[in-house]
Amino acid sequence: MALMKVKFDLKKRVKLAQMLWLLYWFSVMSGVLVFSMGLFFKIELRKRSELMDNNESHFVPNVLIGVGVLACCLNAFGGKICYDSLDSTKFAKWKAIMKPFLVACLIFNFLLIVTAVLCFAMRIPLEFTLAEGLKNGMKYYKDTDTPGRCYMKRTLDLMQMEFRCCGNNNYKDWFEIQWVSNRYLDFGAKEVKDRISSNVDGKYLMDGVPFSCCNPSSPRPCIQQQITNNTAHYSYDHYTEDLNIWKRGCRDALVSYYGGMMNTIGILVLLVTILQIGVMIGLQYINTSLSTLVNPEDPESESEGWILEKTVKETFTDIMAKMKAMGKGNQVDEGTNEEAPAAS
Amino acid sequence: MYTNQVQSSLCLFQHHSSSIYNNPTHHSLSGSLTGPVDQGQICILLSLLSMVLLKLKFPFQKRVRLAQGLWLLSWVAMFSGAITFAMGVFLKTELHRRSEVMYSMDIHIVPNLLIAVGLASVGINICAGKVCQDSLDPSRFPRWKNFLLPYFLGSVFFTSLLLVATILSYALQPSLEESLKIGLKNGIRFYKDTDTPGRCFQKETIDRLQMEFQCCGNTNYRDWFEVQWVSNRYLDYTSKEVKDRVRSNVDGRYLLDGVPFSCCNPASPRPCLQYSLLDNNAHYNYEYQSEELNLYNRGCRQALVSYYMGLMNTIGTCVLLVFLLQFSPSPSTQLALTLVTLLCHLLIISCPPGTASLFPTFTELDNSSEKLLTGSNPMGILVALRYLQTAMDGVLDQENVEIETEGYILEKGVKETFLETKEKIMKFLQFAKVGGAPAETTEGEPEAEKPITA
Repeated sequence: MALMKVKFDLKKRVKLAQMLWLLYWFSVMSGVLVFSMGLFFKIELRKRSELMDNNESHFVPNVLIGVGVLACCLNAFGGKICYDSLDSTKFAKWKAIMKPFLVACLIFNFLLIVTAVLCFAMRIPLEFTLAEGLKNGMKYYKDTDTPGRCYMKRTLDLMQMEFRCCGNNNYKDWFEIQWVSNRYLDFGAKEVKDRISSNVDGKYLMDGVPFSCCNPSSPRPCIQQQITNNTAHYSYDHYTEDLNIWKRGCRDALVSYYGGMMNTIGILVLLVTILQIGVMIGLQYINTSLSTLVNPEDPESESEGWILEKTVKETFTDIMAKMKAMGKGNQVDEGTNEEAPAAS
Repeated sequence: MYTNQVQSSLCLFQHHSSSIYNNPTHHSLSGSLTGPVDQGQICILLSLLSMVLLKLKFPFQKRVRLAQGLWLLSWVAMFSGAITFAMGVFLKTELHRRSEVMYSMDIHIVPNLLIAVGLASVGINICAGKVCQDSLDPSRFPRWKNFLLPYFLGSVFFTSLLLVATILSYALQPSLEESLKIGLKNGIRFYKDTDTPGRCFQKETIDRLQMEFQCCGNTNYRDWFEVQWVSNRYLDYTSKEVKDRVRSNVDGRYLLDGVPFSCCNPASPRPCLQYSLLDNNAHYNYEYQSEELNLYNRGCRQALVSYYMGLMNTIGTCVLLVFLLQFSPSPSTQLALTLVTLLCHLLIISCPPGTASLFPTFTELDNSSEKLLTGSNPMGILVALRYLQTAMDGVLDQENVEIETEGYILEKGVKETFLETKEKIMKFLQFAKVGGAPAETTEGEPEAEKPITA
């Protein structure tokens, strides 16, 4: 008893082949789309690799790129098979490859599902990488004269302006590090000496943030220095002031940006998987309908098509039996080898 | 000499097709012309010269080919019209985004022209495509008989509009600069008025503009020194510093040698210095005369003008190139059009046999597009359309559709046609005069009659 048996006459077969050919072209384009999304994701990760301590894992975008290329190839091949299926002479040369090709498609679909899951799951390691990277980035903000770190200031400033965030968790992170380079500090001034002697490490700490934390939507010119000192500024209360500088932390901002991107890509890959399953089922119907022609010589005869020759359970037991037979075959070989030396 | 001219001109159409058309009636016309490429270029030059007189014979197959080629060309032209429209819309949105710092809207005429030309071009070329489709059916063709002259006039008009738009985009640059100068001056003046309705977003606009275009102030950063950009709400009028500053100038404004944070340059190695910019002692290791990276050096007016001029130059170049492509019969255009037809050909033949029904109008498109490639027509749409129209005129009153007809550009020579047109115009003018004159003559006649009778 076959799974989802359908009767096919010539017109229906032709229509199925044409529709499937179109769907295969869509699948090729979707493969290209997956490839380009993988590439885009890779570029985005590279752009901010400084903030991730050059430690980020490019595993997921590489998998996406590979899957995209593989999808293009498989679908182009499938499209060619569909195109030839209308002509029985051309189809004959594909008959032998059909079954392995369909098995390959099945494995590919599993791979696609795994990729989609990976996309959704990558958020967690990314969060850790970003936390580390941002902390170090802020530490090196002042080192604009140290080779290898001279662009950290610019990167951080541009990132804070673009993502509308300040600091790692929030703006108070800037109070705990020295972000003004010693080159610009007058160590003869009393104020500087006070600040340096006020902490163990001798760092110049202050309750101020860089200009890139400023919010342009604030009605008031930006207050960057002495943020926690209410008396330093006229009509200012830092507890109620929420438009002056960005409130969000950059780790949150970056994680939600990358997380959103990965969610979109994951959903896209799932949709592509559904499309691939659809074309695979269509190809199986074409294969079975062309191999069960009532009258093999007459192309206009009727035929039947199905997804599986027997029911799911029976197919499964068949496969298990085959695998056991293969295993037993190895044992039998060994047994005969033992017997032969024993006999001789 | 004349036969040589005719022969070399015909090589345009019969370049590789002498093998396809092994038709004895054409033998006198086709000649043996499968020469190298440079012969083809000479062909084109000579054909340009002799085309005015040239009458070509058009058998049914060739008419079909011509119509199909023309249909494809009209689609290409429609596509270029769509591109023009899209670019016009893009330019208009970009100008609109910064309309708050622009005082006058004069510059909007450039994108408006582009949009109009794009739309009209799309419309006209859809009609041209429809004409080509109908031309193969003599029963439907007659209603398009008078299409060519409006099409020609329309094309000339819209191409000239495009040229006008390009010229305007250069000519209006001073006006744009002036408009930006006034707009930015107002923006900087109203920077502090975040509590005044109608101006409360001026601060955000200017800040975002300065950050995005990496500029500061109108001409440079010193423009901020002449304006009070800190609102009175945030000034402590009891403090000495504020009182000093307010008294230091006639208008009682709080002026300072400082700039907003959006002028800060992230590429500076030093944390941004915004206040006391002209005081070298206020900051350690600071000299304002030699400090270059602290703030943006460029003025926003210059930044915006160069941005928009660059945008308009790019768009103008693209659009003109695309339009010239339709009308010039140069060898490079031939190559371009061949590539386009090749692409269409690939798209068409890659369909499986059953889907030929997706192209309802030309069931023969499969085979004929091949022939189209081998004898690709390099002439512009206009010329081809003229040939098609004149060829179809010959078929109109005949019963047998598949006869051979002649096609031409001008029925008689250039000089004769010119003289004829001149005569027609003179007659028309005279008729206008004569229309007034009979009133006089009828009055004159009774008078003339009267003396006779009297």
